Amino acid sequence: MKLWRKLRPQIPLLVVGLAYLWSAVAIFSYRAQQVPPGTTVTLRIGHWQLEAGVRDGFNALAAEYQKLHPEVYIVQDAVPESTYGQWLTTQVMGGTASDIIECGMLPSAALLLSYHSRYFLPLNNYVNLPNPYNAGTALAGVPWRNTFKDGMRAGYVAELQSYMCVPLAQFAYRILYNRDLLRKLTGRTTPPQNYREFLAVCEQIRQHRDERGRPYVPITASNYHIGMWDSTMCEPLTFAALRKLDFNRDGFVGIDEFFAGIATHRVGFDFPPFAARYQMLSELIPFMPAGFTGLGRDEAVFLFAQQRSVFITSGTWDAQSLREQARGTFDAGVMDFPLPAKDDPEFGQILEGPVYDRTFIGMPFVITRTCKHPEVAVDFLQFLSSQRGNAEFNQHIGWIPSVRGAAMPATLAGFEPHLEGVYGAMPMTLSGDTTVKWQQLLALFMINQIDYPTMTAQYLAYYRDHAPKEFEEIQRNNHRVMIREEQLMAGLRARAMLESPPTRTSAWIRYRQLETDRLLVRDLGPSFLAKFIADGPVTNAVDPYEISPAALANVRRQLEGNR
Amino acid sequence: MIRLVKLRVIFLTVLLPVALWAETGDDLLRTGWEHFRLAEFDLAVKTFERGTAQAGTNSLGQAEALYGLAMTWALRRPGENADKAIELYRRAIAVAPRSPAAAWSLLAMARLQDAAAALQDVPDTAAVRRAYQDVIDRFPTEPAGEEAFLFQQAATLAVPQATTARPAVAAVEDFLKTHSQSPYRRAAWKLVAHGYQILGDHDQQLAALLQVLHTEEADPHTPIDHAGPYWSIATLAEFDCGNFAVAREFYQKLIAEHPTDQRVFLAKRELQHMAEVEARLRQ
Repeated sequence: MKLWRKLRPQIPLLVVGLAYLWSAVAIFSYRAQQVPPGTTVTLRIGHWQLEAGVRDGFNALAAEYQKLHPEVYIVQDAVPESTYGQWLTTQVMGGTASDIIECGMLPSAALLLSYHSRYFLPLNNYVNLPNPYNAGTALAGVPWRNTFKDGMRAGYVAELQSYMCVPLAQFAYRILYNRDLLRKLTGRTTPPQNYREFLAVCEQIRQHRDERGRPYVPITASNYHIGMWDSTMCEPLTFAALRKLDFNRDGFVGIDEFFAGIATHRVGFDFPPFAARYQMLSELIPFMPAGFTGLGRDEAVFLFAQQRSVFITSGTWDAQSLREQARGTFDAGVMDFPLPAKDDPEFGQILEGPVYDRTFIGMPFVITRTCKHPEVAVDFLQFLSSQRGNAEFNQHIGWIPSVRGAAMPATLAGFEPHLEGVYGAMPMTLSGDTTVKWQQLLALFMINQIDYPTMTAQYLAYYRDHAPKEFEEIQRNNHRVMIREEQLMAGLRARAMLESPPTRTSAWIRYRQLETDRLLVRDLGPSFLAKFIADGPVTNAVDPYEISPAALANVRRQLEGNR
Repeated sequence: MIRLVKLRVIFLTVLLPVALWAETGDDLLRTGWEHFRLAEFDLAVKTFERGTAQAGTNSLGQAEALYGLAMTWALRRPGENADKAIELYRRAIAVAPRSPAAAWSLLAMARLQDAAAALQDVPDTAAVRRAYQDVIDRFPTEPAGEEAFLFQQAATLAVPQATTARPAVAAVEDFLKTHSQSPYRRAAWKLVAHGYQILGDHDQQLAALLQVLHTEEADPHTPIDHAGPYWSIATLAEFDCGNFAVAREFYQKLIAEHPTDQRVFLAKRELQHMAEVEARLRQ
């Protein structure tokens, strides 16, 4: 009785303890059961890619790898995208993360950077050595980093001066279309080849109704998809603005340069390429579902899968899933974005060439510091990113390989990126207030409540009032965040000072490069632009991409001298 | 005899392992800086404080630990304490006045002053210049002294005025002559290029940008993206200098070495454009 009285208060604790013990034993025995006999190394690989084919791809490649290395067993931890950030955080903090994990889905770049430095292993010792799994291919003997299409830039973290990630796939946008429905509604067996043809086909589709009397929707779209249509078809029309607004001549128009152009009256919203962008958008919108701005991605996909719509834009990451949904029901084809022909009456003169595909190398994998077999983890990533391995892996998924010379999956015919062409040069907003205002006006434009002149007149009035303050705030923020740069440089300097002789020179070189580019010359460009804005409107200024009179005279002199 | 044996036992079982186990000054510095890099500033402070206490008085090790401690108090967020940092920098300088730690401490004090001035409505640029000058005078050939000089000139060039840019450019050009082996030559040429941009002397700007490329230090671990520098040189040569030979060379280098760069389309257009301009001028 006495013993019971003593034990009684401890019962809850005992129950919790037993529950913990039971769960620990259950997890341990479950994991032990998973591991086949004879394996001595278990590698866990965590990712958020639940799209069709990804898990199959990992399983297939893992099986092949195990044939070469029977002692290694590979397990996947596939985690939904919506909870991946939290999962990643708790796992790395608790020291229980998978050995290899897909890196991302974190709320900020700063957090990602801190994870890189705390929890992941740098790959610098491997990237300059050849990938052994490329033996016998055209990439044999080529340093690992140079076997990637982007030279492994997607895996390089400049702040840490280290290669951290191994990117496994490349992404691009295209249009998927319902071949059967297109044939049924228009009699066409091929997709439209240019913009005018595309509009005509959309108009034809819109005239038809399904068996329940509902009109067909030519283009399915949502608030998720509209940006893809705009950035791939409409925004490239603004390329000519680059020649007027790229004041620092780096080949791109920044938000600050756009502001400078408006502030100094070098360009206005009546600039024909700007108006053309929104003219095209207004011509496409009537073929999208009514109220598409209120729809989400899945609702738009549903419309396509239900065969009520013919065209949908998609990234390569979605293409395979969309095809899976269409399997057995209809034939889904891939087509390029239909651009205006050279003789197009409205846009032919404005669009200067093909559109540059903003592809990006992604699906970045890192090795965690808690990995017990980092050498094996690196080896498996090399296997996945070998020319043959990467081709096969992406074959399963239906994505574009990230490795040079790795064959594209046949299903992606039509997704080959165009790496030469024009791109957008109209970054409309500067900071918080101007962004909100622009979004409000654009929303009204997209539901046909205001036209382009009204939208831009209202925005210009607001922009002229608010943008100067936002520009000043951006300048101040640049100074405020400088402390982060000073921290980074102090850390790198100390590393160089304490480095042992074989790598000391290299550490100092890296330090000096970053010190120069991130601290020393940091204020020079912005101060030039600030003065440019302060000087005000100039009526006879030479555009940044216009040969100056003095330069032209020099060319003439040289030509005369050569005669 | 027994006492001697006892002492030996104590030495072998307690003191020797403790001595072997104890972190060296270098270990503490490395650990302290690792904590700093991971933004574990409390741990960094504790480690550098241990390093300061463990190092011999007036030793190099003590100066290095004090420098680490000062950097942490200066740059930690939150919880920074600039006054404490300055006091620690001064101690580091006093402990080993000719050491690299003293040189970097002096530069760090100037950088603190520069950062504070940047956020003021009317910055005291003269005081910032004097702070950099102090580092230059005391450590003219040390890396910290060279950096101080470059930061001093960069601060001048950050105000794009011809009157102040001219002497700054002359000073940096002089630096390049007197420090012909300096590893900071690339940085110096960048400043010269910017200075000539302010002065509107595009031929000199182009020459300086070419020097930036030529003085680049190669490190196999750091990927160097030349697409940007090539583009800058080519466009400057074409539009401001009328030096089509250089423009062609660098547009072509961009196309050949960075075939997937976004600017390739425009580079090809510009090659065509220059040919058209020449054809027109020949007529």
